[in-house]
Amino acid sequence: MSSLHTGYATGRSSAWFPFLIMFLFCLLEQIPHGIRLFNFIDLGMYLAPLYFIALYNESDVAPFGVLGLGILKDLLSETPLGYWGILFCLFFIMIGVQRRGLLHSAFRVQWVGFGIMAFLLYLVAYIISLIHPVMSSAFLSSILSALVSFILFPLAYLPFLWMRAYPFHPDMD
Amino acid sequence: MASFRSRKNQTHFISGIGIAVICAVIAGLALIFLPGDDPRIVRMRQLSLDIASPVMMLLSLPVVKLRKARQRATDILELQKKNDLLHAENEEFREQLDELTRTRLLLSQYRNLLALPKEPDLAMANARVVADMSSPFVKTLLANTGRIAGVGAGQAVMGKNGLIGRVLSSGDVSSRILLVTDLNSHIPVIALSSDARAIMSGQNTQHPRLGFLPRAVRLKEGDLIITSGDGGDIPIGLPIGLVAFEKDGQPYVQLNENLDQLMYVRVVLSERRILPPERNTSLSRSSQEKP
Repeated sequence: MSSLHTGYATGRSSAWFPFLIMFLFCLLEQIPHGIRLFNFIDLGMYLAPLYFIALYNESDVAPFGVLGLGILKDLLSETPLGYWGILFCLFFIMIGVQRRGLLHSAFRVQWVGFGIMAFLLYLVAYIISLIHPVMSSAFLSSILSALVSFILFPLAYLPFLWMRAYPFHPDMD
Repeated sequence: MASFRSRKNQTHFISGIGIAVICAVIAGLALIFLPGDDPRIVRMRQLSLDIASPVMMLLSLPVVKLRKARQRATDILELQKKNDLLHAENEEFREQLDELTRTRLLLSQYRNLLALPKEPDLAMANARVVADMSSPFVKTLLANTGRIAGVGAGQAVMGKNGLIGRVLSSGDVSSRILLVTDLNSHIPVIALSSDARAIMSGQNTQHPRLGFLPRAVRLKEGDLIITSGDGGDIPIGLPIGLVAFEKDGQPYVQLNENLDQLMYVRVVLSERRILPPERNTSLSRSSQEKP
């Protein structure tokens, strides 16, 4: 896994792709699956593309895209407008601050980094839901959500790294 | 000013993180100051769901097929057991049928005698659940029926066995349904055997709680909870579930419907006005005819 490229920034054509996947994950989370557990936890699959965007997308438009997707998720998932918007932006900032260290590190380090950031994000999500008058959440749900998104991270993240490592990709250095 | 060019050009006044901070502040201000019930936001939410619902329907097709196959497999495995259960239920219902006919007759006679208003019949619109927005933070569904079918905000929504929520807003082809387990759901109910009125409120957990009970009332475990019809939005008498108690003695409602397994729902398209009793109408007509 660590042999995959983790140290280059993306080019133009692959810049929009993680946004599209993130949007699809936002939609997929809302499919009526009939599994009780998933109604009480968030799978957080969309965090993996967001992590990829924060690490590899160098465009200044990326934060606006992240905010736009957050607001779109708010509209689609019935949360107050701005809730996922602020959470996605905070996640982007947290990764951005650690970017220099994470960008050239092995996949395992990136995975652990993601785990810590996801835990912090769900903690913030829990605190906001406590403060906000029309929201409520259980602490255990938030912790479980962070844990599940950490476990599922390679599933959603590795395809992006493979896409970057693909030798015939037009944006490869 | 931020220039929207690659960071490689090194002509920046604000870094990418700086722009993200500005975006976070914008989102934070929206979260604090934008009221959730603002009609423009509700319209925007409904419009985005109207646009997204065909995509969600398409994405959910394989899952729906899988769920149906699983249901079929379970049905086949439990065929004998279900058959025995149905036979037993059939016997029980047959015994209750005569009593029901007699009760219906008596009810209509009492109604006429007391000149009670007649409740309107419940018209229903069937719909498929195309998105389940339930998460640790909210409990809502999206159904593929809307204004075209006569669905409007506030209408009650039922599953196979009982009330599951009410319509939050409706677009042309989709409706947002607030489940009874959501924190923002408050429904007036009656506990049948103790005749106590209460408010059933969601807690974002599996079971809604009963609140605002009169002090003197003692609820019994297994009491049937039905809608009281107070407020006029939700018709009277829709079954919801049974009374149960938490370890600390707090009463909650064990719902008749399993909210995680919902594939189809029925929206109650009842009219808000209550029709006058037939006897009164005929009396008023005859009095009008007299000189």
